[in-house]
Amino acid sequence: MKFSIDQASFLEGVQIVQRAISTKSVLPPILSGIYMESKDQNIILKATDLEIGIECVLSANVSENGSTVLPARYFVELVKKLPNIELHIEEGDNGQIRIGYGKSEVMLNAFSADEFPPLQQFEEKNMLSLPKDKLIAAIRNVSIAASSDYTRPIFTGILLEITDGNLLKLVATDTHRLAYTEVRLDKEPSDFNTSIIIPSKSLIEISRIFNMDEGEVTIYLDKNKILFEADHIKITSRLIEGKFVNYKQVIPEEFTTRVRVLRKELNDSLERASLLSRDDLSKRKHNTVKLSIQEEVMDISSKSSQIGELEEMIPVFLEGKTLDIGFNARYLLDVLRVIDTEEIVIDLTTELSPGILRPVDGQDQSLFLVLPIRLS
Amino acid sequence: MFIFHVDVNSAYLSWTASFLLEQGHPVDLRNIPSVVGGDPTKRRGIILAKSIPAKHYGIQTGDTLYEAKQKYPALVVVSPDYDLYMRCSDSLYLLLCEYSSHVQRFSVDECFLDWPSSSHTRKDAIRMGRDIKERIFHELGFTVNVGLSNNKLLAKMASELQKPNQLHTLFPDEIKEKMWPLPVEDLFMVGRATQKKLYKFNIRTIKDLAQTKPDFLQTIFKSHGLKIHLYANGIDDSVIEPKQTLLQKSIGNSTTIPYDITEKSDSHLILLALCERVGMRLRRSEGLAQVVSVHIKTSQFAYAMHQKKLFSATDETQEIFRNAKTLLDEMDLKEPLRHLGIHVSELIHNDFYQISFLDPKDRAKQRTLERTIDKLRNRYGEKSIFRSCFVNSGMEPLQGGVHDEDYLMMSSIL
Repeated sequence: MKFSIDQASFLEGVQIVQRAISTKSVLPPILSGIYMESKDQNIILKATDLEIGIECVLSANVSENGSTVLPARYFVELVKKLPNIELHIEEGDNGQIRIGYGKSEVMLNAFSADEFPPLQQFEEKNMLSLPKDKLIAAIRNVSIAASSDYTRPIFTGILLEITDGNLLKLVATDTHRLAYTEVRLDKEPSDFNTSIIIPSKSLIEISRIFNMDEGEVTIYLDKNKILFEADHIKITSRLIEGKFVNYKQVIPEEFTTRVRVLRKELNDSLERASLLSRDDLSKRKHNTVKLSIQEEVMDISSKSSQIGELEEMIPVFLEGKTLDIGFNARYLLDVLRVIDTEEIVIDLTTELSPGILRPVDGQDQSLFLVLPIRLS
Repeated sequence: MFIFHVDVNSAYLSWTASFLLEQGHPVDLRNIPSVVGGDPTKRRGIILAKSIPAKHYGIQTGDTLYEAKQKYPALVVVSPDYDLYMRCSDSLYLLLCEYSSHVQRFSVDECFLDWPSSSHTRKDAIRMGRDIKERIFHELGFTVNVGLSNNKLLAKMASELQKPNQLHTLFPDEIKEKMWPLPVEDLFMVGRATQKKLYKFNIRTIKDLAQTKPDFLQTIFKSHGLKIHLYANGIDDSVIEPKQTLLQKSIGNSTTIPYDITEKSDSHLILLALCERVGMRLRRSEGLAQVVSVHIKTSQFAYAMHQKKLFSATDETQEIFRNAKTLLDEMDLKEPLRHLGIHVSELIHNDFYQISFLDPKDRAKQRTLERTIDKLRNRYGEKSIFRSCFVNSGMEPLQGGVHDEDYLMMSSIL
């Protein structure tokens, strides 16, 4: 193996694949490394924790083909600190890798490349493509509702469903809230009527790694794995087995109270209210705020026995009945963070039934459902 | 600001005594050598509380029943009734709430009360303290000590000064005279281990401790040293945390069956009968359980326990039973059963409950139903209403009732 590449593009590549490196000590040591292969004017970088796998191809000046695995922690830190000049990388003696920069050089101990597990292969059969920015926006919308409690793995995943030929839906829930978003595909996918559960962690990585530009991302699906490909980067992920909750059943179709409110105003009020609702002593994680919806105003109040209490009034447009309801402020704020329209609507029925938040943009592509807190 | 500390005098014993008097018991347990603790029929257990006459015979809290009987063979022993204590504690709390909106339950038998003093004098506060003490005695039937000061620590120290049925003040200007002469182990947060070390350095009174350099105490006791130094000087800035209801750690119920249970359906019925009481107690304590556990003994005296964390906290008999039944079935027992028990633990308060999709659909309805049944049972007796599956089953619809739960001991929540 022998090639030269400029530091900046090399660093970008290793930092992308490094995201797949896990700190879990149960994994074999080889997986703490980044696989590097030089082949026909290209450098292929790979890393995996067996749940997610990332592969990135960089163009370089290759003079000798070959492969190696370098310990990610030191390798990435080192490349980050190297000067922004041409780097010369080649195999040295004793299985070491030599990185030359200017008149200096560094030798790194390497693993044997044979031990590195091959990334999963996909047939070019079940595939679909959509604009990257649409996928990233959809992931950002729904991932807020995914759970991080691994005792119930289903809820740590995001449901990806394709119906009607070209309607892609993403759904996530942690049983206290649910986020739903849909994307109409321009091109009909080839035989892709499906519903699968992807770990939310993998999808969040995807939304961070891919650039939010005009390009397309292609998705390949296999029985228990999925591949996303764009920008010379391939990201594979394991799927979560099991059955997702019937989300259609929990989304109410009717409501008796509808309020329209300025997003920023509600957001700022809730931020203040949530400051005064964190009761550390009672060991409750809830961040309870009370919304009292009246004609033309919504009264937001919170209380902490130690800090004090707060009451705010913001103007709203009300259709239907007045209502008092309690919510976890954090759940509402998470939603308001990902909605970017000026106004939102909240649909409610009773103080014990879900509240539905929607952006007011006339497109009806996303909805966020939050279950209330029962107040005594 | 005035802070009151109200402390029930030998709580368990006086609560049991006043309850028995009310029930027509001829003697007041407080006036004879008597103890609360253990199970007198089984002749085991430890002493949880003692009467003052019992104290004269050298009987101490923590003695085994056997030891205590050796010290005074004619000792009267009564079993603890934790439900009664919780009710007494609740009524104490409610009475205090009439005086201030800032009442903190510090343990089963202690409360702090905050009384804003902008327009009140010390005399007013003392008068109010006396009034509280007298009302508790006349309306609830037991005596308390009231401590009065400007912070929680001094109020607590004041109520400990001389017992029973007293009101003491311990304002900052009284520290030198009333608190400093006391032995150092009387100071709040100075336990046996700390006391031993302090004695080694010849710090024997609270005054000695107050006048020791804080740096020195820090090198020995770390941050705890600084804290007790502040306490010895009567300084404490902790605030009253109102509306803190007391929550037990777990609630349990079990029964030993006089014959072998071989049928699954019979064991399910017994489990349901046990769950009824657990559910009732859980709802009364205003708690929700997050963990359900089932324990069993077989006819061969083999013991097994199985537990499960619930997806969402509950106080419903039905829901507890459903989980307990699964747990029992999962144990896959080959031998006949002789003992069955159920516990719910990791309790949380029910005042704010985050609703989940996984909650049963008819939860609100079920809640109302179970609360209505509780009310009927409280008013017309426990067996005034029971589940039809017990008709002609030969089984009691509510079983157990032995208190085998972990209650908070007095003064255990700091």
